[in-house]
Order: sequence, then structure tokens, then C-alpha cells
Amino acid sequence: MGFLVTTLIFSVIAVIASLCTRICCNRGPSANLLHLTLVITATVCCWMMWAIVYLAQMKPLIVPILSEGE
Amino acid sequence: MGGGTHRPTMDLLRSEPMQLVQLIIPIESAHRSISYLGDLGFFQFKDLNSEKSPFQRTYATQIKRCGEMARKLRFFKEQMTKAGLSPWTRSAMSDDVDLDNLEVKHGELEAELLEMNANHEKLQHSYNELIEYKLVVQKAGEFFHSAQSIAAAKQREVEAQQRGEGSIDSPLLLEQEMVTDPSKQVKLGFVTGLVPREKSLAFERILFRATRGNVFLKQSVLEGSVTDPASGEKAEKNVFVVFYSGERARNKIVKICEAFGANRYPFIEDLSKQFQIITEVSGRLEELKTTIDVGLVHQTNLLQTIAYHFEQWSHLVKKEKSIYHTLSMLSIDVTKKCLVAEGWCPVFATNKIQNVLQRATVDSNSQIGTIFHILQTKESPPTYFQTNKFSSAFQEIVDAYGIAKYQEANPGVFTIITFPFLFAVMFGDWGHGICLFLATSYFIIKEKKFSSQKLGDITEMIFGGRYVIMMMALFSIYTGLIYNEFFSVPFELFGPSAYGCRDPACRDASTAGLVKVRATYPFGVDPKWHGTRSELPFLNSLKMKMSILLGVAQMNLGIILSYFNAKFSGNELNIRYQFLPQMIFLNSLFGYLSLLIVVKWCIGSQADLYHVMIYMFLSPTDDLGENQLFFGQKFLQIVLLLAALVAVPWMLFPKPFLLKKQHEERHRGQSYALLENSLDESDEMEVRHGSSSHEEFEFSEIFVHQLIHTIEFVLGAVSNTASYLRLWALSLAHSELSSVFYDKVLLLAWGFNNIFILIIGIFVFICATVGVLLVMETLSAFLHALRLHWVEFQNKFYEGDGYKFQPFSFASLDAEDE
Repeated sequence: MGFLVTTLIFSVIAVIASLCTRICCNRGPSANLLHLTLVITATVCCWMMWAIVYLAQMKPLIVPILSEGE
Repeated sequence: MGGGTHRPTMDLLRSEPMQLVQLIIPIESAHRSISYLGDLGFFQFKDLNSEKSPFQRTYATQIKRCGEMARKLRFFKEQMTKAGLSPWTRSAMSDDVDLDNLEVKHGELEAELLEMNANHEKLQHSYNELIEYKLVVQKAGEFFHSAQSIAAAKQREVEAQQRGEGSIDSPLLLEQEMVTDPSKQVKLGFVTGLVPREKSLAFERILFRATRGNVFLKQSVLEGSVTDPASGEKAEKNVFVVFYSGERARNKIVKICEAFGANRYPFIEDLSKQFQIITEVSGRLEELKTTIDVGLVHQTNLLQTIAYHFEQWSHLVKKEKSIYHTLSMLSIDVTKKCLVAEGWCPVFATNKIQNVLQRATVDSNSQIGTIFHILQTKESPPTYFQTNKFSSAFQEIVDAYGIAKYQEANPGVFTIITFPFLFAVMFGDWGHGICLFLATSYFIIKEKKFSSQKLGDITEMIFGGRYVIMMMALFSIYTGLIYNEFFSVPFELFGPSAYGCRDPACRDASTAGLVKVRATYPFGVDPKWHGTRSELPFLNSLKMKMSILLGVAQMNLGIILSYFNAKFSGNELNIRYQFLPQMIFLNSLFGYLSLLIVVKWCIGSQADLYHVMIYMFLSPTDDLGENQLFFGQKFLQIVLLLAALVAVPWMLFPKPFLLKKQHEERHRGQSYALLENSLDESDEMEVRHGSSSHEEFEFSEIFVHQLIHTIEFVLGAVSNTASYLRLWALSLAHSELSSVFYDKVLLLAWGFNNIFILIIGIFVFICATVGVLLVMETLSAFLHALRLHWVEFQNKFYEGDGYKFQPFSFASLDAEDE
């Protein structure tokens, strides 16, 4: 559940970011395509990293074992 | 040629389309056209006179003239620095300063400066000599005066004694003594002068030895230093008087003085004459001083006018020199009425170039316009990317490995994001990221000021890469939040931690550990992990798997880019017999591994993935047992294994044979093609530029090339995937270092409860963080991220054997000089 919700949040952020770049620096179709590519690449990279870390902790095989004196 | 002409192109993905252009310029407008083209900066001239030596070229004399003017300018600069002036930056730029007038003016200025310098030298020499003379006269005069007064006193004493005695027989003696034999009377001559103090002892000794002790030397020390007229430097000197007898002795003394650089000056014993001389000399000194001062003022004024115009002049001379160099590259038409230029220019600049040439024709009042003629050629054009200040740094990173071939996919597009991202995966700490961001924002804010200054080497590099570092810092803040490390301290920023005690007393927290009691920590690594005993096994497993997943993703991106390259250049062979088997091979092995990793995480199974992967190869038909993650896994594994095995010969064999068939087909049709060409009105240029009809085709060479390519890919699939594990390794190193500095320095210092130890501890912590983590780790992660891009990402698709577009541009002139 939390996974899907956050993935949705990432995609919404991607859409908002592309709209912002389109509004702020609209410099012709080829430049727009480049900006779109950059925004999508960045979002995909960030999402992948978050998803990997999240999935790894969903059903953990190892649990934190506190060290002495904590 | 390419696909996608109906779809919008993407900036920076492929290099700008270039065209080979021939310009036929009438002679009157040649200089002006080249000058305007240089201002525009979009035309790369080809050297049409490459066989000629520099002296045979048409404009060799002009270039020599410019060289001469450059020499004069360097002389001016030297003189200015000697006078302590510096040229004004970017003084008034008035257009159209005639080169001939300028040359004449420079000649005049140079002559004037040289004359002034010579005069100054002479005057200064006389001045120094006169000063020395004055000192000699004063000191020697003192000495003589004192000696004479002593002698007079002694004489009076002797006379008094003698008068006192006054006996009868003494007059005889007196008379005898009074009569002196003129021939026996020896005349003592003397030499006066100045000798440098260091040499005075040696001077004395040598005089003594040379004249066998028959001289009398008296020296007196001068306070303060005197400027030596010969060398122009201040030196400490002594005044000396040497008394000698005889002509030979005199010669010896003169020679010794010359050897020691001791200046001799004439001295007159007469007291009244001495006063006269001193007043005369003082008067002359005053005159000389005023003359010298006036001369200096004059020189400074002249140099200041030069300084005012210097930048403008030097820029102009550089411009003219480059224009004549370029003109020398053009070939002169037989009729000697026009010049032919050939060169590359981007297609988008065609209108601009034509306008500029038009303007040149109008401005030079020429009757004929320049002809702009596009040539067809098989030559490979230069690569040109239009970058702005943000993307230029990333493009340079890619170019450092190899310039992109004309119109192949540019990895620079993705590098803008993936390079800082991979750096951040290895650097992840949002505290350090914030420090980097602050440091680089200083450079970005002061951008305008820094770009006009001359910076040191390292500062120059950092300034050039400021946007790269900014991106790196931003991504580091993100990954730092994910790894949950702020100078290695975790924070519970995004909600409660997922782990809690098994029972209210928390008895076995140190033995069996905590349990997951709430939903997964929503963003990043759970803060409870830091400092636990099982932190490393968990993080290692997480980071290793993350490296593999990121690596497989980037390699797939590389292969997909090779697909787009093949599609763009219409190379069907590459798509069917290279892209497809490569995708199948990589994904059936490592894509499958990635899938297993994700499935294992989702299910939470205890399957041993090493076991699964290894036994997939060793005994694929065996039952998976405990390691089964999903239904049908065994069947899927067998299918994937077969697919991978089939992909290897698929990559290796078909392509060479098909290439051979293609070449034969083309060769068969060659004879018809030649006939066609001769029927056309042959533009000489076209035949020249068309490649030679006989392309070399060595089947064995092609086959070996394909074999190497295949082996490289197959082995590379394993080794490159493993290479991505450096993401894990460096990230672990960074977090461990950070943790050590925090625990063992800061917390230790805090534990002492002493303010001085705390201050020292904070100081050591800051030094260690900046030196090791912010500088060394940044460079290290930068280097490894670079390597991952250059090798693991780019060897999937990048050829990088193009050459860079270097247009004739005045803007680049200034850059290359500095």
C-alpha cells in the first residue's frame, strides 16, 4: 500500500516538474524534449533508489540487534 | 538517411547537421568577409594550401607584418611593466582602425621610446658619475686638509726645536739640510677614486704586492650607498687615495683600478679650486636631476597613452594575424580575381552566414557578391553540439573520452543526470551534500566576477565544473536522506521507525533483536539500524543488490541507445544481429537476477540467490526445492538459459556473412554507377569528394572484429555487472569513515566534559571531514562514477571517433591566448 501511494506521489512530482520546466524555460520543441528527458530521467533514478530501499525493508530477513549498552 | 525526421529532434542528442560549403569570394571583399565570418564564428575553414610551406602562401608578407607589430606590442608591454603601469582592460573599442596607420604609429612610438630610454641611460650615467666625483672631492679634500694640518703642526714643532737649539756650528748643518737636491727630490703622485667595499681589502693587498710595497693607500668609508654609474646599482664604496712614485707604478695602479671596477677621478690639491669644483658639480647635479625628472614624466605620459590603447591594439593585431592566416588557407582562382574557400558550417547557420557575406560585399563596395555553394561529400563532418554554460561541463566530460562520431547518440544527455546520481549513490550523506552545495553556490553566485578573472589551475577546474558539482550536491542530499545519514547520524524525519521491542521489557534487544511492529519506514533506511550489530549485514545486502539493479538498468539504457543509433543510420543489420541478441543475452542472465532480487524482497523468502544463479548453469534441470520463488521458475530458467546460449552465435555469425553479401551486391552495381557519373555534368568537386569506389573488404578482418566484439560483450556482461559493485564499496567506505569521525572524534571529545578538549575535538572533526570526506571522497566518487560512465555505460553503444568542430572565431582567439 505504502509502496503504491509513494510511487504515485513520485509520478505526480514528475508531472509537476515537467510542467514547471515547460512554463519556465520554453525554448522550442527540441529544447523542451531535452528538458523533459532530463526531468524524467532524474525522477526515474530517484524513484528507483527509493523503491529499492523500501522493498528491501518490507519483509526483512534480518532485524536490528542492538549493541550492548543501548 | 535517418528516421525521425517527422518527429521533433532532441537538443544535444545528436550533433548538429553540418554541410560542406564552398565560398567564392571576390578579392576586394575577401578581408572584410573573413573578418565578419570570424565575428560570427560558425565556419571552419579547410586548408586548401596544405602542401605549400608557410613562406609560399599568398599572404606571408602580411603575416610577417602582423608578427612585427606583435613584437612591438610585446616591447610596449615590457616597458609598461617596468614603469609599473598595466594596460586598461577593454578600453574604447573603435571600429575600423586602419592597420597601416597603426603600423606607422607603432613604429613611431617604438622609436620614441627607444630614444627616450637611451637618453635616460646617458643622463643617469652622467648623474651618477658626478655624484661620485663630488664625494671623492669632499672626502679626499678632508683627508688632504687634515694631513696638511698635521704636517704643518709637526713642521712648526721641528722648527721650534731647531730655533731653540741655535748653536754656532748648527747653521752649517741647517744650510746643508736646507739645500735639497732637486734631482733627488722624488715627486709623489696620487690617484683618487672609489672602490666597492667588498673588494677594498683585496684591492689594498694587490696594490701592495704589485708595487712591492712602494705605495701608500688611505681609504675612508662612505656612509650610505652610491649608485655605480656603470652597473646602475647601488653599492657601498670607499674613497681611496693612493700615493705612488714613478711612471711604472702609475700604470700598474691604473690597471688594477680598472680590474677592480674602481672609478678614478682627478683631484686638485688647491683648496680654493676644490670649493669651486664642488659648487660647479652641485649646480650640474641639480640641472641633471631636473632633466632626468622631466624625461621620466614624459616617458610615463607616453606609456600611459599606450596603456590606454594597448588592449584594443593587441586584440586588433591578433585579429588581423588570424584573418591573414585564414586567407592564406584559401586558394586563388586562376584569374586572380577571387578566392575559393571551403569549409564546414552548421546547417542552421546558413542564413546567418549568407547575410554576413552580403554585408561584407556591401561594405567593401564590391560589384560582385560572394557565391555560397553547398558541396556533396562522403567525408565525415565534424561534430558540433550547441551547449550552454550548464551542459557544456557535462559535454566536456563525455568529450574527454572521445568526441562523438557525427550524429551518433550523445551520452551527454543522460550523463547530465546519471553522473551526479551515481556520484551521490557513493557519497550519500545529506550533511556533506549541504556543505558541497554551499561551496559550489559561492562559485555560481560570483560567476560573472570569476569568469573575467584569471584563476589558478585548480580553481579554474572547480569553477568550470561548478554546475556539475551543484548537481552532485543536490543528488547527494537526496541519497543522504535515503541512507538516512547526516554526518553519519540518522534522524527520524519521515515518520516513526518500523522496529520496536518484542516485549515491553525489551530484554532480548541485544540477542534476538527488535521486530517489525509498524509499517515500513516510508522514506529511506530505518533510523533504528544505525549502530546495531546487524547493521552491516543488512546494509551490505541492500547496497549490493541496489548496485546490481542500477547497473543492469544503465547497461540496458546503453543497449537501447545503440538501437536508436542503428535505427537513425538505417543499419538494419545492427538492429537484428546485434541489438536483439545483446538484449536477450544481458536480460536473460542479469535481468533475470534483478527480477529474482525484487521478487525475493516482495515475498520475503529465504531463497539463496547465489545458489539459484549458479545452479541455473550447472544443473538447470534440478529441482529448486527451498529456493523456489515462484511457480514455473525451473521452466523459465531453462528457457532463459537456452535463449542466452542461442544469443551468442546469433551475435557472432550472421553479421559478417551478410556484410559480405552486401558488399558483393554493391560491387556488382558499381560498374553501372560509374557510367551514370560520366553522363552527368561532372562537378569536379563531386568526383573529388566521392570516396574511392573500391572499398576494402577483408572478410577475415570483419569476422575477427565481430568475434572480438562478441567475446567482449559476453565477458563484459559479467564483469561490467560486477564492476557496478563499486557503488556499494564506496558508499560503505564513506559511511564508515563518517561514522568513525563522528563517534571517535566528536563524541569522544564531548565525553570529557572539558571545553578545551571539545574545541580541539570540533576542530579536528572539521578538518577531517573537509579533508578526507569532502575533498578526497568527492574526488574518489567522482572518478569512479566517471569510470562507470566511460566504460560500462558507453561501451554498449558509443563509438566516439569523431572530430570536434573548430570554427574560425575571434572569441576563441582571446581564450586560447590566455
